[in-house]
Amino acid sequence: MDTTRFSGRTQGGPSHVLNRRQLLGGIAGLGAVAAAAGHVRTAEASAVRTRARVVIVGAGAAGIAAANRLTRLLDGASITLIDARREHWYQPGFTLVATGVWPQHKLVDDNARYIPAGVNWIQSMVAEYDPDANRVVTDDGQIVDYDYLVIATGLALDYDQIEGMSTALIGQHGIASVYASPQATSLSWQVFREFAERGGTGVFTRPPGAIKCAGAPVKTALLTEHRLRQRGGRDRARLHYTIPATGMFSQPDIDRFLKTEFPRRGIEVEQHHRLLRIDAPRREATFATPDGERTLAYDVIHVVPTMSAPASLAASPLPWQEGEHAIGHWLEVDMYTLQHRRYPNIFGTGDINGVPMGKTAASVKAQVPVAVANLTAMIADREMTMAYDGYTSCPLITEVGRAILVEFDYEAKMVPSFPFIDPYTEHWVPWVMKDRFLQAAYNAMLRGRV
Amino acid sequence: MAFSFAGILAVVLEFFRPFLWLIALVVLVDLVLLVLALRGGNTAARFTAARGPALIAGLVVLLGAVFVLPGMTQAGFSDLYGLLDWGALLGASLAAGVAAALILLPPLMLLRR
Repeated sequence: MDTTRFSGRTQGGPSHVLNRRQLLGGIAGLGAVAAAAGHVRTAEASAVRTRARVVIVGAGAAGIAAANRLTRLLDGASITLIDARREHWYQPGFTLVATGVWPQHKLVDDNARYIPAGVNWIQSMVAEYDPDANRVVTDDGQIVDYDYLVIATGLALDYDQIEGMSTALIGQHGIASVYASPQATSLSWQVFREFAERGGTGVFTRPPGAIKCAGAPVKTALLTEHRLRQRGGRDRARLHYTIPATGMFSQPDIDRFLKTEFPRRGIEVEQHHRLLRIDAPRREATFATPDGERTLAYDVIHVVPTMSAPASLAASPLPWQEGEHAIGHWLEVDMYTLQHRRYPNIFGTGDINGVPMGKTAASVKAQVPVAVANLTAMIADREMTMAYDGYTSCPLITEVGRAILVEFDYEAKMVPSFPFIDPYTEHWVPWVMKDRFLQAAYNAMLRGRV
Repeated sequence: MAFSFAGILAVVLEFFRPFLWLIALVVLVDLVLLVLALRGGNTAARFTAARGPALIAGLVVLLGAVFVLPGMTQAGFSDLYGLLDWGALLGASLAAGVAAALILLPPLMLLRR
């Protein structure tokens, strides 16, 4: 793809002249939407009668969505959901809070609102997996036996892998991080807001390995640069975006776009930089580089931790034993069926899966129906027919008010949900979708409706 | 990833869920007013008299929405690009205008004797 296909829009704003091709494209797009809308799901598949004991570990987006779908697809099953957390965090909104677009309260919901009636919710954490005995043990000592297990634990944020870093530092000493929690996200905006007015040196990090919402570090850097322009600090600011290797984004077209866009906006991309430690009081960050250690002084640093499977899962027999997914102890599932490769009565969904792509809420939307349908087929002694194609999505916000709706699959092929939205052009509509509509889609996903 | 029609409806329901009570209340009040207007007789004349003001009000809302909607999303006109964005803005504004006209029609019919 030629990167010139990207909007070519400047900070001064776009051309507003519509040409005939755009007009025809738009009309064709509207027709395609009508066609897509024509794919009416005529009826819920008839429920499978079973007395199976299904245990779901994790009450995040994937776990709750799976619970809702399984409740409708299984008649008579005993469904148990295990997770201690009562709050539900709308994580796709974290970057919006950290950049001052949303207030913090929009991120926090109540899990009880979405857990279906009839599901036994054990408010503990799984401390031990024993897949050979088909049981899990909770941290308060409950032994829970299962016939089928759905693992939807999400992942662990390894802030402690960065020397001198802890989540308690977020909001202090110029340290920000959008991943830790709604409160940390809000504290991050306080740090960025001050920086946007005063300027200085901003360092935005990206760790090695698989991370959830890999667009978040990019968006945070771009939006902070925009806030600097809005609040007058841009001329006094120097921005570094550090990456552990050479790639900025897993989709190659977007990777090329970002490698043009960051320099155009004066953000220096520092390749082969891995954050080793932070000296918070001195506001210094040290990176491992091919030339040895390099220390950068900063006024603001956006810390993105490495991520991995939760400790209890990592210590179990369930993660990959070798290969690239073994590094983060990710769940060893087939990348298409989402069935565990060694324990066939176990399925995985969401961030925990050791698959080439898919640690976003959009991936959850695509994965849960596959895992649930294949599990249901297995219970009904039918052939598993559903396959996850690696779908993931990132509304790549480039400025407050505009975004690129990027959706792609395992092959890094663009697979737009809405054919009339060009995945290579900044638009207002994807921004409105992110700002106003995606949370509604997310909630519908939690209820197992999309 | 295509959304099914049922899926789109589910998303729309979730979007309006916090305001469903308000929408239901407005629809209910409008229905009551409409029934009262229809029972008052001279329906055609009432409709003809109310139609103009309702359309004008709808047009005002439409034009207002065109100018206000981008700002409500913290965006500006410079963020709009091409048929997609301008079409969406005009479509949303048109919907707001039509909704305003329809909401105002029953009370205006009742007021016109």
